[in-house]
Amino acid sequence: MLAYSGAGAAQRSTAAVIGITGSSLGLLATLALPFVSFRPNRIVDGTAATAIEAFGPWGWILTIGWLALGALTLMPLGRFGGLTRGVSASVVLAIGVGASGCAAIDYAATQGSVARTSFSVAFYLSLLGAFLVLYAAAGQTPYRIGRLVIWTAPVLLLATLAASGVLAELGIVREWAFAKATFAREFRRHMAYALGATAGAVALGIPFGILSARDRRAETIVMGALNLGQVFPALAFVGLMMPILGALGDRVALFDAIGISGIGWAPVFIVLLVYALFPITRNTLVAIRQIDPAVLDTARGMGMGRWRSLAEVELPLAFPVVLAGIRIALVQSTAGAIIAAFVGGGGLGTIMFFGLEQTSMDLVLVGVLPIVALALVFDAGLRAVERMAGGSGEAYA
Amino acid sequence: MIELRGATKRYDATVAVDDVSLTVPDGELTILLGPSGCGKTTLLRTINRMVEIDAGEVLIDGTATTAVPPQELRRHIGYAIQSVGLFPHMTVRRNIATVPRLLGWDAARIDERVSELLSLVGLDPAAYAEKRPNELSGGEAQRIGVARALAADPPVLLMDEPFGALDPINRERLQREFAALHKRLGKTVVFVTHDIEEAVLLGDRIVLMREGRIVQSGSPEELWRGPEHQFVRDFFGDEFGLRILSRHRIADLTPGPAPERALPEVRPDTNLRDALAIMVTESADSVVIRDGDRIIGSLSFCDIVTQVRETT
Repeated sequence: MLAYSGAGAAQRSTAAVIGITGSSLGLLATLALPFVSFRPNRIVDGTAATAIEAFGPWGWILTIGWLALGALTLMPLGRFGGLTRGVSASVVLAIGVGASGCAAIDYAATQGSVARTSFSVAFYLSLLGAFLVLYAAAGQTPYRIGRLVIWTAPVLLLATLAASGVLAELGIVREWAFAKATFAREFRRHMAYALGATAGAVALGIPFGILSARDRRAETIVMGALNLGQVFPALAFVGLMMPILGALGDRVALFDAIGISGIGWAPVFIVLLVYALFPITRNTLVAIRQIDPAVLDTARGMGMGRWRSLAEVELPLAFPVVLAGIRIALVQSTAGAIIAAFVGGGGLGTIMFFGLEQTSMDLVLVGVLPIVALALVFDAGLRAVERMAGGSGEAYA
Repeated sequence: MIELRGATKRYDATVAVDDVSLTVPDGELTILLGPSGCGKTTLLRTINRMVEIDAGEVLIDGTATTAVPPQELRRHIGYAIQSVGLFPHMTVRRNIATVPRLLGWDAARIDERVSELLSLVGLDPAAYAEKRPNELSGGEAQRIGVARALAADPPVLLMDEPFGALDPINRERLQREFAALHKRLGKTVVFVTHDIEEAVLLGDRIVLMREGRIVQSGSPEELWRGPEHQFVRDFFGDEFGLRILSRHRIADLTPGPAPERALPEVRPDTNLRDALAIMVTESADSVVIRDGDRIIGSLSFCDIVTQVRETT
């Protein structure tokens, strides 16, 4: 990981290599590969165009932008170097997106509202390139506020573009307009799957982990079962749950009453829960096992009971590692909740599969991008909590 | 007073503690000594029920330890071990306050006690109370470990090789400080070690163990003068006598008349081992005892060797 503390020459040069890689990627993709594709309607194949073919002078400006970014990466700019490079990368990215939006408006003017202008491979590579430059820039910035500016600048710039209406005719925005009606509901459901399964896994996994740490036989049973669950492919697992839960729902009135049946939320929730159990249980087990036996011996020797020792000594010492397990479980569940779409359980997967059925990449993105964003936000948020918690027990983390 | 009556602990086929009966008088420092695997640590741990015995009984002040729940029992017995086991996520203050907290003392009383204990083990309360265990040296950590064991002022203290992990210089310093502390506080201490030097230096009584049984127990002098088994002689070795000498001072012996020739001088509180060392260094067969300006008398090599066996 890049040093966030301003750091030595080796880290500075690593950041420079990442930065130059990112800007080269953006430049080459912009010059050589199709940036957008134009289709008369959402079904037919379209024509792809590079930035220069599609945007005219703005294509050249975009190319020069990437060149300038590469030059900035090579120049020693002192303490504000990171900030300069980061904000410049955001501007270059915004030029690409804005130019695509203008091209889409022009195309729609000639072809009517069923026309679709979609991003193509050069755009996605530019996105990756810009991300690399931002990542390197954040690594070169010793101040928290500077890093915050670097990461919020692209979001703000794109939001401004979107608000100005320039992007209105882009395929992804058009598809968003269609999906908007169901989006909020599917988003909420998706969150409910991810958070619900993780919460359930915390409630079960931590006790399982504690039990396994104390008793070898329990460990064999618990970890054996979870390992088995882990190697089962998710879809096969859901398929396996369907007849079981269906039968349960038919026979037990209570289950039927709370909506447990072969399809819908129940099989998805159970499968996500089982997957999420593994990292939480294993991390709890490992964290408690690696506590210095002398610490546990003195806790007992001074008159702490099992629960007291657990609450005052074992869990606080295990906390940072357990938290890492929860983070992995949450990120995994966020991505995994896509499977709900297969069995009528809703979630953002529904939008994604709808897009796949209609061969509309734009609609797929409307479903997928929020999932990626959610996963990144969960990951960053819990990492921050881990860093704060690590202060107390880093020797045991 | 701690009494063990026929205490026995078996692990599968091996007998770790084999029918041990032992009385530890109040205020004495009793050493459990023996080669590794002799059952001394297991025996120590039967006292606070960290090890539950299979047969026999353990009484503290006449009450069976099984009469109270083990947690309750342990809160009234100090406990310090070689690897210290300070809680790494707690400050020194909170570590020391562990047992008082378990006993429900109020915050003001705990704070006062923590400061008092830090001073007692020779650490500045202002500088150390808020430190974390990872900021302490080995010697400091062990001092905190002893302070923590003393926190609720328990009448009985169990210590399992508390100074075993320290470097020789720190170990000796802590041993001497602990001996002084024990004289002052008058706790009943049971102390496990395999270090003969430490046992002879600190022990009011030594309980020598082998294969789960007591071979012989008594004061270091009793074991030296009257070993009942070859094992006792072999275990303590030829240096036993020299080590016994270090327990006694010139003032403990009856001096001869003041000499007429020039001799190396010692003070009344010089220990006998050091006095012998001075004779060897100065190639003298006697020393003269000087207390300030006063010459008290003299002691020859023969006086020391014969008197230490007769009078101590």
